[in-house]
Amino acid sequence: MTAIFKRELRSYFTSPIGYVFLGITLLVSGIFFVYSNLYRTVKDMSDFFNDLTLIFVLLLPLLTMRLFTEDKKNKTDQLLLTAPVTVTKIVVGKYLSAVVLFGFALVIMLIYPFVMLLYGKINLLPIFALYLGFFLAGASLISIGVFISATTESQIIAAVITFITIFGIMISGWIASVFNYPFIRYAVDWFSVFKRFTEFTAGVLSLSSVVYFLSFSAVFIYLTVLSIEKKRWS
Amino acid sequence: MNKIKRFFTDKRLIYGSGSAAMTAGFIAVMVLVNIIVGVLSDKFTLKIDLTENRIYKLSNETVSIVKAVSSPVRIILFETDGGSNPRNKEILERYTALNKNLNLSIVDPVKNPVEANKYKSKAEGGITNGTIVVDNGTRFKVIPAEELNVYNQQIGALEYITTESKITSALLSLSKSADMKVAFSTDHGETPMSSLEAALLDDNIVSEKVTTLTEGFSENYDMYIIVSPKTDFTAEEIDSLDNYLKAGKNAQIYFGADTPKLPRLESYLYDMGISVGEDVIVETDSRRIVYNTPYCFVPVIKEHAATKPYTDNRLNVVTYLTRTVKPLWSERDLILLETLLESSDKSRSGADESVNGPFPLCVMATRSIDSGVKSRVLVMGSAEFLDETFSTANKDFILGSISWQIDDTSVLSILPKNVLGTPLELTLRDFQLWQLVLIVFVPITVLMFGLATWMRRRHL
Repeated sequence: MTAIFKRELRSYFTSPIGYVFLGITLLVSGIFFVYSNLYRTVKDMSDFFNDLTLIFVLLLPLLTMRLFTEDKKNKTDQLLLTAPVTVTKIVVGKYLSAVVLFGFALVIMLIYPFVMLLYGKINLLPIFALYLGFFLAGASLISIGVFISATTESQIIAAVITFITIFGIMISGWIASVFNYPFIRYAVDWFSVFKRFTEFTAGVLSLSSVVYFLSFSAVFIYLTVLSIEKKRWS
Repeated sequence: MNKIKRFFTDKRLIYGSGSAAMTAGFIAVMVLVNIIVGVLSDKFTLKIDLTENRIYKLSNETVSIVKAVSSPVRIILFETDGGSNPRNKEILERYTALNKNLNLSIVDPVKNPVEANKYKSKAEGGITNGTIVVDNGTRFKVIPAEELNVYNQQIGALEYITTESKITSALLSLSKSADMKVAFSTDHGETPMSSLEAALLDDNIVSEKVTTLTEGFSENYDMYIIVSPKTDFTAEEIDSLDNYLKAGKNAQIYFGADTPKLPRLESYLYDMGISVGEDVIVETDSRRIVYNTPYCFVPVIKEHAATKPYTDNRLNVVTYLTRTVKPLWSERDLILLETLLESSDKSRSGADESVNGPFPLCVMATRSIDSGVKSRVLVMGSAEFLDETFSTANKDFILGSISWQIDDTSVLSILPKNVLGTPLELTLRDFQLWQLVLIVFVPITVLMFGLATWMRRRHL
C-alpha cells in the first residue's frame, strides 16, 4: 500500500496536475483570506471556509479524475490488479495520495492564522477545528471522486461526473426543498457533507460529524473496492 | 432444468448477490454507527464549544430559569431552505437538553405558512427566516431574526448573538402571571402610546387608559404612566397622586420638548427632589449623534439595578429632544434619587451654550414607605424616548424599568455573545503587503514549480 501511495503522490508532482491544484487552491484561498479576514480585519475564519467550499466543486475533480482512469488508459490496471497486493490496499493507497495532497494544501494555508497572529491575539483552537472540518469534508468528497474514477474510462468523464456529483451534494438542500416531504429533507440534510461542515463553521466540534465524515469515506472506499473486484468475476 | 441450474450456478449471480448483500450490510452498519453516535451525542452533548467567547455555554441565570419551566413550552425556529443559522439551532438545542418541557421545532415559513400565520399577529416584519417563537400554549413571544444576530454594518460581519438573552427573557416573560396593571393618564392631552401598550401586553402587563381628573389615582393600578401632558394637573389630582405614591405605588412621567410649564406637577416633583429643566440638550460628540441631528443622541446609561442589562452589555438607547431632569439631592427624607441617563460631557444646554454637560436626563426616585414598601417614580426628560422608531433597545429599557419598579423583578443581565472579537490591527501597508504575498507570490511560486516540472519532463 505504501508503494502505491508513494507512486501516486509522486505522480502528482511529476506532472503539472499537483502544482496546478496547489497553485489554484492557494490563489483562491489567498483571495478569500485577504478579503474575508485581512480587509475586514476579522479574526473569525468561518466565512473564509464557507467561501472556500467552492474549491471542493472546482478542484477536487482535478485531484481524483486520473487515479484509476490513467491506469486504464495506459493498460497498467491489469498489472496493478495482478500485483501481490489486495484491491483494498490499492484503493486506499490511491485515496490517501489524493487526501495527502489536499491536506498539503491545507498545511500551506496554515500560514493564514499565523499572519493574523501578527496583528492581534487570536484563539487558534477554533481555527484548527475549522481546518479539521474542512479536511474531513474534503476527504469525504475525494472518496466520491475515487469511486467515480474507478467506474469510468476517461479522465474528462470522471472529472465531469465528480463535478456534477459534488455540485449536486452542495445544492442538495435546495433540490430536496422542491419536494415538500419532511422525511426527504431530513434525510438529505443528514447526508449532506456541506450541512455537516456548517457545524464546524459555527465553532462546534461534534463527535457525530467526525464519525459521519469517516464513515462516508469508508462507504465510498468500500464501493470503489467492490467496483474493481467486480471486474474479476464479471 | 439445465438452464435453471446454470442460472443458479452462474459466477456472476453468486458473486453479484454476495457482493450486493455485503454492500447493503456494510452501508447499514455505517448508518447504524452514525445513528448510535448521533443519539449518544444528543443525549450526552458530545460536542465541544470551541468558540472564543463560548457562545453556546448557557449562563447560570438561564439554566435556573429553564429548569424552573414546569409546563410544556414549544420553541419554534423558522428556517427557510438554505437559510439556516447553525448557531441559533445549536443554542436552542442546549435549552431543550436542560428541560424535557421544552421542545424545539424547526419550521419552514414558506413551506408551512399555516404555522407561520399563527404567530403573524405579533410579528411586525412577518415571520421570516431566522425568527424564533416561544409558545407556552396560551401565550407566545415572537423574536425577530434581526434582534438575534447583530451585524457590524461597516464590515458586513456578524458581531453579536443575543439568542440566549432573548430566549431566556421570553421564557421569563411567559412565566409571569398577568397580575400587573398599568394605567395611562388621558385627561391632560397626553401623547397616546399604543405601541407601548402593545409591548406591555406582550410582556403580560395589562394596561388601561384612565381618567385622573374625576377619579383620581386608583390603587388598583401598580403604576401610572404620564406622557407629555399639555395641561397641568389639578390640586386634587396632585393630592391623589401623593396618596397613591405614599401607598407604595409607582409612576413614570415623561416630559416632552413641547410640554408646557406645569407648575403643580413640577412643583410636586421638586418637593420630591426632582427639577425638570426647560432647556433641550444639544450633543456635540459626533460618536453619540444619531440621524445627523445633535438633538438625537445616545445618552450615557448609569449603573442601576434597572439598567443592569445595558451597563453590563454595553447596550445603547437613543433619546431625542431631551430636557434635563436634575436630582436635587442624593438621599433625603427617605427618598433616594438616582440618575439613570445623562448626556455626555461634550453636550451643551440649548438654553445656555456656555454650560457644558453632562446633564442628567432621567431620574429614578425611590421613596421608602413604612414596613419596607417602596414607591418608585421615574422622570424622563424626553417623551420621544418612547417612540419606537428610535431604538428597539428603548422599548426593552422601558419595559425593564416598569417591571423593576413594580415588583423588583431582577432585570436579566445575560451578555450578548460577541462572535467577532477585537479587530485585527492592520495598516493599509500591511494589507497591501499580504495581498501581494498571498494572492500573487505564493500561488505563482507553486505554479512556476509546476511549469518547470512540465518543461523538464515533456521530452522524457
